[in-house]
Amino acid sequence: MDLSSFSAYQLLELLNQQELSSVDCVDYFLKQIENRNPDLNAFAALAAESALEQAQAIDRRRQKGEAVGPLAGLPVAVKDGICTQGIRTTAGSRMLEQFVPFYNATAVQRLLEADAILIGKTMMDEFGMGSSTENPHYGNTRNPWDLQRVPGGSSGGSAAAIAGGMAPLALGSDTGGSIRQPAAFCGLTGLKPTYGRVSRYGLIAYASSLEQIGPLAWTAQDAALMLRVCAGQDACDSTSATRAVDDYASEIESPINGMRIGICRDQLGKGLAPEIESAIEQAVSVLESLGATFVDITLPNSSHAVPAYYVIAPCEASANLARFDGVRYTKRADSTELDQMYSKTRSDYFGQEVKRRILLGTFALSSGYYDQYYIRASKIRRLIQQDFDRALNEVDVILGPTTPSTAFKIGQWVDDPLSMYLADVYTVAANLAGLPAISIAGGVDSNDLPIGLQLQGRPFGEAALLRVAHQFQSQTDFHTRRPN
Amino acid sequence: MVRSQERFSAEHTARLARIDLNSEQLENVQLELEQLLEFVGQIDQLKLDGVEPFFGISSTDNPMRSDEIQPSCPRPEVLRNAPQTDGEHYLVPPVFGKQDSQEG
Repeated sequence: MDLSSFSAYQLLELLNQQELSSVDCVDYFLKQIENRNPDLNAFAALAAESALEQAQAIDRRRQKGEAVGPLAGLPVAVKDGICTQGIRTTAGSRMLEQFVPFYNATAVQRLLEADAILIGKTMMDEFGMGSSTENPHYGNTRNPWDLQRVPGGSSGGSAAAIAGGMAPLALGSDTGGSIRQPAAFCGLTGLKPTYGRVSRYGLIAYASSLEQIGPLAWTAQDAALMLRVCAGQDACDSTSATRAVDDYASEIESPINGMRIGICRDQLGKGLAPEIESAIEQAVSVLESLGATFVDITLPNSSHAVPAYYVIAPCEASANLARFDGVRYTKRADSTELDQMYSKTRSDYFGQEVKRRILLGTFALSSGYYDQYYIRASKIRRLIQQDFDRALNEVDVILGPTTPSTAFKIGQWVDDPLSMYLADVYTVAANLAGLPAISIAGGVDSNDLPIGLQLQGRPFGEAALLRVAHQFQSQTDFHTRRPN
Repeated sequence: MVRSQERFSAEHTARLARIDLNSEQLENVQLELEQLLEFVGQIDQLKLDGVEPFFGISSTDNPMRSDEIQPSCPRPEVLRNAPQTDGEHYLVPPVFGKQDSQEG
């Protein structure tokens, strides 16, 4: 059976009906990894042995008729910036080459408690700082739709794992688009939850006020399943929200007639690939045919989102990454003098982009520049949040592009950080405002590459996003396409 | 407004960030960061008087837990990831030069 053509939801049905054993399911995906990962380089580490043991245990429990969790027996992949107990977690950095966490991130723990099976850790840009998963230490991850192209980033390994048929479901994290952009490039559904919806405990921090852990999957239904398991308050993360978690799987079944969907015409046109723009127009027709009404909205400050983001995120990074000083985390450069040991360790084991962002953030926070950069950027953040507040008063969700182009070539922007940063032009605003946003497959370009559409919603409006996405997927088949 | 990218010093900033850079790297960083600062410097053009900065969403109330002692991280597990320990503490090179280091 070609299990990679199934969604996670369909696999769970087969598992629950005992038409497929978890051992066979895990074994299938492990074989896929063995065959395809050498080309795709989506996985940073495998947990084959423990995965098969867990699968056997779940099969036994099912055979005995015991209760099993909502993801029982389903293999999942986890981004390597998310801590996994006893499994090496590098965050894509040489700094953490030998780091083995002694605890699970809360999101991972909840997946395991739901009886999901962790099959491996996925490649990423170092500490999440990038949009292409071209990793100078561990190699480039390739896009399963075209091996000469990037899978997006920073959760590129998670996206390539699913699109490459090596996992049915994966966790990523999104600081400025790092779930949605790879989902768009790989033809997947990727959801960045509202800030606080999923615990960040165990997520190796890059920019703490912006980032969230979230699901990557083929379908909105799969993302709904995974989010339901991972979301909710956590005593280990004081920023996790106390609000009850919605029953996404049932809410997505409601029709969308009467729903108001905003579209920001200013964001179309300049800088956006024409094929993506026409995919948006087609999506408008599909959603209108389902009874949604479209309303033109404006987000007047959205053009300032990328520069504001590239002040705030590096500022937070410069503070968060101060912990990597050669004392606690595996790597230390030889030196007989303490101060030199700190700076040599950081110089030897951080990659170029990480250093660039630490330096940018350090400067922007330094005496004399703090008000000019950090405070001004934080004021722009307020304006962006107010723009969304106003718009989302009028509409339930906002439809637009996820990315300005489809997947670009490996090496295309590697020496041009500014162009790489502009890959985030449509995604960073949701992080700045803390809002949920989802990318879904909504078209195919002339190179046969997937086109991503983004929906942004109200705080804790994940159910509305997933509902629109699911209803769109009930009328289209972009989410069922698979790379050759 | 002053064009601050003209005042960016790679050398000074690298020292603040505790990152060692050789002269060639410093030169590259100087150029790259000037470019990036010019780009993010776009935010200079906006009128922002009276706008309250926004530092992120956080829950409206600070969650409290009862004041009970909970087990903390297990020391051997924590130290296992460190490059140098004596089994109880992290070890680092001496702060005040070699001869002071004998007693840690």
